[in-house]
Amino acid sequence: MIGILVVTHGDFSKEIVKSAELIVGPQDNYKVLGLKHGDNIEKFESNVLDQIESLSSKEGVLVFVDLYGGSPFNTIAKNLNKLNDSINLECISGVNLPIVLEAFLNRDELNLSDLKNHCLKIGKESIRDIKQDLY
Amino acid sequence: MKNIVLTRVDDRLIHGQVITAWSKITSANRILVVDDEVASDPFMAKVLKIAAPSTVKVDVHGIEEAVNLLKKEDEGDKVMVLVKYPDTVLSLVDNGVPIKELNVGGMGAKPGRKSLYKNISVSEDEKLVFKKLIEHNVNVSIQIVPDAKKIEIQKYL
Repeated sequence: MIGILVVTHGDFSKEIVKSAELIVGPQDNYKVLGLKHGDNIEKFESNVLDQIESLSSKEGVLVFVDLYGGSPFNTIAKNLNKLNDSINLECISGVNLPIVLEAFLNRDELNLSDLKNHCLKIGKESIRDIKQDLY
Repeated sequence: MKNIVLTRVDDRLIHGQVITAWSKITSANRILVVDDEVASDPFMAKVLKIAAPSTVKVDVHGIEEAVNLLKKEDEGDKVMVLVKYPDTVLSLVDNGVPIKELNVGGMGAKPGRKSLYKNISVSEDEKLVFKKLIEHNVNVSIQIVPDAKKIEIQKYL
């Protein structure tokens, strides 16, 4: 099964998965990591790498980060070369609830590359002008 | 007769659990909301319609129109029927819609209702309706999301 890692600032990662589980039920084979105020960035980086390692299988790992250019993003980005050698990995920034739901619901049926593309599409489509849709 | 893939009592009608988990597991491509009150309120009907993914067609009808629609020829659609109250399902069954399974997914606490099982609350009248449905050979069970255990309602009535 494709492993899912959510890395964010603060408790967002833990809570977004809890919110997703409220909708689609309990999940497994995922990890969450939050960067807290005062955390040592090197320690955080090694945690991220350890978690990716622990989720790794031949199906691969899909990583979500919250903010393009933020520390969780930077941590993944700077290690991508190294990770690519050993792990089938895809990363998406701008995590939102719709893409987490889609990742959980479709990871048994899609391969990692297709799951990534599906999540990118859903993530973008889910941001809508509600008044425009209604009136 | 249309192919009904799920009939669900849920007072929130279309919401997160329905548009993600249930529509995926049932492969429904149509949702029929059956509710006389919502059907007479075009704005609420619109709100329900935009709440569903674009791949799912949503119809909102009162009981009579819903019966007519469900009795039409099966053209390959997989229809999810959503209602707020169990007596709507009884009306459908009484009018000849062959419902064999009823999923109870959301009946919140409100005056006149008591907790039946966890967050599912029912009034005495609603209990009677469930009993009648079971007499009509409808298998009634509580299941909030597809991953959750299915609880047969009969022993709680």
